[in-house]
Amino acid sequence: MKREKIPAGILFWIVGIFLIVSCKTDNYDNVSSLGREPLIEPDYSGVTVPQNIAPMNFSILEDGESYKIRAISSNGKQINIKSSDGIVRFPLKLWKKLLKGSQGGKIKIEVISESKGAKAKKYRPVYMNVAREPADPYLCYRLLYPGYESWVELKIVQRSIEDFKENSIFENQLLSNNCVNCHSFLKNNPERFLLHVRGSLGGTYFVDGKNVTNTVLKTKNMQANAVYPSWHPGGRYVAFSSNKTVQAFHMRPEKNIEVYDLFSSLVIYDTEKNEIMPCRETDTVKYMETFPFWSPDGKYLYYCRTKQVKEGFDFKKVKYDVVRKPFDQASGKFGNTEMVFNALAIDKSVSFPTISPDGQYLVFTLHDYGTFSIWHKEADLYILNLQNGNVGKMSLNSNETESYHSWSSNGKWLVFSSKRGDGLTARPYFSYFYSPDSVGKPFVLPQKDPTLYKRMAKTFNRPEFITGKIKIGPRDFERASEKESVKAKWVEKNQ
Amino acid sequence: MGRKKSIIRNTESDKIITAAKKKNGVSSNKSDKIIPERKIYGKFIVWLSLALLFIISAIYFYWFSNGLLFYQENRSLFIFSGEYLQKFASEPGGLLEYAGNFLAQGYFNTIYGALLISSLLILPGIILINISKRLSAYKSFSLLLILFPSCILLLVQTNYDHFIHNNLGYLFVMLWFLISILPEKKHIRFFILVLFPVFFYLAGCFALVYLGMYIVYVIIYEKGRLRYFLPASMLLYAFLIYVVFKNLIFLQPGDQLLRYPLPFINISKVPALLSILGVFVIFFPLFVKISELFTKKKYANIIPFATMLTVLPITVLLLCRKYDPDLENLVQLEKAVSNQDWNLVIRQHENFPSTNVIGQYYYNLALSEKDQLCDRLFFGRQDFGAKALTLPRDNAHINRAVHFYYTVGLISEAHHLAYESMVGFGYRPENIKLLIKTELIDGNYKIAERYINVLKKTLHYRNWAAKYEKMLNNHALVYSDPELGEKIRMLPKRDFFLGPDDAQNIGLIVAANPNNKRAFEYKMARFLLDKNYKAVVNEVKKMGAMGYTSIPRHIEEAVVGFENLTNESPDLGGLFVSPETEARFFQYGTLYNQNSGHKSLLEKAMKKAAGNTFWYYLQF
Repeated sequence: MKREKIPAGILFWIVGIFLIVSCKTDNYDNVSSLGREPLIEPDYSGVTVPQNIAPMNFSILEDGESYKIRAISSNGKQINIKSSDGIVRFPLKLWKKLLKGSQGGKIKIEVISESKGAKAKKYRPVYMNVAREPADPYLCYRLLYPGYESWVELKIVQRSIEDFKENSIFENQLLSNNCVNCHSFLKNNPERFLLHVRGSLGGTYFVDGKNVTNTVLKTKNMQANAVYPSWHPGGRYVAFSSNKTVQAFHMRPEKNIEVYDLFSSLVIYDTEKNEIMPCRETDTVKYMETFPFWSPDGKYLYYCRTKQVKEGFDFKKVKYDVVRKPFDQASGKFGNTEMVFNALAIDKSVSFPTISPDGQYLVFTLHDYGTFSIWHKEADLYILNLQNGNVGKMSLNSNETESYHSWSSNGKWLVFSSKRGDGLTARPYFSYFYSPDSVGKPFVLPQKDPTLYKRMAKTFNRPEFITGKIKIGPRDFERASEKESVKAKWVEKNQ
Repeated sequence: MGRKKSIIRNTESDKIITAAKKKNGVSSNKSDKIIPERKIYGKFIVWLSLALLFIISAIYFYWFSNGLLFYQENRSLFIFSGEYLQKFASEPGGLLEYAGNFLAQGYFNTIYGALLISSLLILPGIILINISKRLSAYKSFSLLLILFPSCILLLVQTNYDHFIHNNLGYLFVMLWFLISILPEKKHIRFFILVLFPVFFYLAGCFALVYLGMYIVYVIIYEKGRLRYFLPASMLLYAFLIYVVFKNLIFLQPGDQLLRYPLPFINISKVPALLSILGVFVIFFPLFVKISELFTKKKYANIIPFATMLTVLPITVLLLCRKYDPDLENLVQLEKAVSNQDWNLVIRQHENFPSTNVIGQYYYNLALSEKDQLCDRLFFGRQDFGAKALTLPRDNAHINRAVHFYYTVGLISEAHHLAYESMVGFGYRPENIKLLIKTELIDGNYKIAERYINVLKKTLHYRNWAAKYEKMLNNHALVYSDPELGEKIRMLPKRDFFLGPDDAQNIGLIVAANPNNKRAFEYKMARFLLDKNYKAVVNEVKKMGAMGYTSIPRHIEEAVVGFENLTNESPDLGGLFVSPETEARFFQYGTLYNQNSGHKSLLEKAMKKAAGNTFWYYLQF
């Protein structure tokens, strides 16, 4: 077949037009510059992000029929995006290049909104600081409705913070819809952790590599189940508080739920000997003890305590302090209790004492009363310098609840639950830890679809950094639940 | 080989055709297409029967049981979103339920609902006609086989908890079976069998019915080794698929994979019928084979007609027996409550009294909403005393119990129960609507917006959502809304915890907002229904301060009764009993005295003359 030649003139015009169109730059003659940043959601303006964070997708809340977005790294790399609906999704590979080129610097994001028949609007650029230190690559949390009593579809999920991959570790539909809670890792290790299951297949499921064992920790000597856990850094012991908890529902709209303990005490579980033992107070005053947390060197057990409540007590007068006990790992014995932070003295109450991996700082949640800070709008994070005793309110707080928090393994990042979005559902926020007086502006875990949080009715519970991917899945817990559970032995040997 | 089989199958019909041709003196030419009269007649009867069944069903669901449509439409909320689809797509059989919910979202229109249900009831019949044709020539008893599943499905459908996806499931099984046996070419048929995992994913546990049906078919209709090899292979294949689904692909427990979306748990009343249907469908190929044994021409014309005249009347008879007017009445009340048509609720219960505690609870609720609780309480039937004022807050009653708390302005508890309903039962129109209202009342606009956005993605509730969307971040608009504004004014002035005892709770509600007249009247209604007239009288003195200028009718009756029984004059706080009530009491006393000698007549006479008074309730 004979090929017909394209006339050179036509070819010239085609190429010419193509070049003109493709070389057209965003040369706006008709642009008005606004002296403010664009409104974006989530609010990522001025935040500090780790160098391994997933694309910080956002939606633009400014009027416009289309948007042009240009993200520029410190070393000049660019991503150009056009959006007709204001939703900005950065391609993962390009985003990684942008991060790489901005470590220790900033990513600059320019936004232009366009509308037919009107001048395009150019906003002041939005900047994101990029820290050199990475955060742990995975985040583990429980997903549930922030409801009252009922639960369905409970999941414990791991999410890569470096991209958007998410998969469940535990799904309660495989365990007869039992409740699951209190996942806790040994030093952010994805291979050593535990979680509690409540119900017909109840017990504490210990994970060691690919082995899952269901251990029933509650013995007849304990008044209540083992609840809030903390792994001793040596990996042998786990401290638990054993709490008898009740809840009630407020009838004024300011508060929904009140959860409080009727009694609680500390117990220590020896994973090697399968023994559980009390951690008794030597004081003559009877206390309620909860939220244990080991110091990173394993020499102290920090926890919250208040005087044992009596019948007809006023729940608003229950205030927890932070105290600690020295621990001798060789003998497994505790010393005398020392006051760390006297919250009662300032008419406040403490939850979730958490120590930085270097052992220097203690972050805790401070609220007006009681022990269940997630339902306290006034709850905020505070930091205590364990070297000099200075205490300060952290700048990462909002007008809504800030509650559960955990440190990254390198001690440079904090992840915490905050209800600042809507006052009801908690989301995981990250904050860079410069110093006790200075933390980076927090940002919410980025999602592939940045509008997800607006729709999502479920809450993120107990966000925990982990140093890698958990290799077991829901079916492993199902199989473990089918095996006979291990019963812990009660031993009275402490102190 | 496929061709040979086809010839074997058609032998019977060929004989009939040949006989017909001989009778009519027509030469035997293969190209001639002469359909025997009996076959035409049989076909006509089949289609007539299905048409009649369709009409019976449509009449039933349009006129007699349209409450079922409301009930089912309110049990799910179809949302046009990828996330909603994803929820169903993550489970074998989920898409069947998704399709059912998609169709059921239009049930708010009664004509649509009645026609849809009726169509889906006769569609299995139409598919079975084609399966019968494929398996054998038409036989006299084919009509019975074709009508039977549709009739069973119609009877099962009378159950309010039998949802349309179950009908779709059976329909899908029959359709897939037809597709499986239609191709003549062996490799196409094998290809369809290989697609079994796809069918399992789409149909869920209905795939097991198909599996059984196909195995029965193969054993009966296949020849040679295939007859045994294929069923064994199919069972092994199905088992492997189950193992792969359970362990690798899906996250449902094994037993759920084998039973979803069949309602093994929910429909406790009709498992027998569903089981019969399942067994019938599985053995349908066998029944067709058996029907081939009955070839006597003598009764050939009579049997289809007799079948129609037997099966359809029996179905109608069973339909009548299964019809529960009390339940339908209750659901109609529920529908009126949902539409906030309080006058209809009152009218309905007074004209067609519900004997159900929930029906009487709705009546009391409607009276309260119309501020007539203590004026009209005894105009309707009250069989359960104070138990019909509130319902238990357990899972079985939560969706209904919530209305009381909303009515008396205890918005936190209404929100609590609506939220629990949403968590436990998923999005439903009623729980989402209540969540929107309660969040707006409480000023939680961001959360209200989330629920509004859900309703905006529905077919029927988007306009409703648009109305409330305007109230977002506009407290003045919320406050000026007649319904929401009133609830804001009724909010408790001080905080308290609700306890398990409803009698104490109503006292707490009144104590937290003494100006809450609705709560106060519920408190008084409780005393009245408990026949505690002393407690009623003791409260009257507070009513003046609450803004009452006259005493509600039944409370007056209690006061008059109290005066008569104790000879004491209670402190009415400046209010007084109307002369009209005094006169009525005089008439009541006179009538009582007149009939007191005839014990048998007394109650009847008093009920007729004063059945709507507290005095009658107290005395009888």
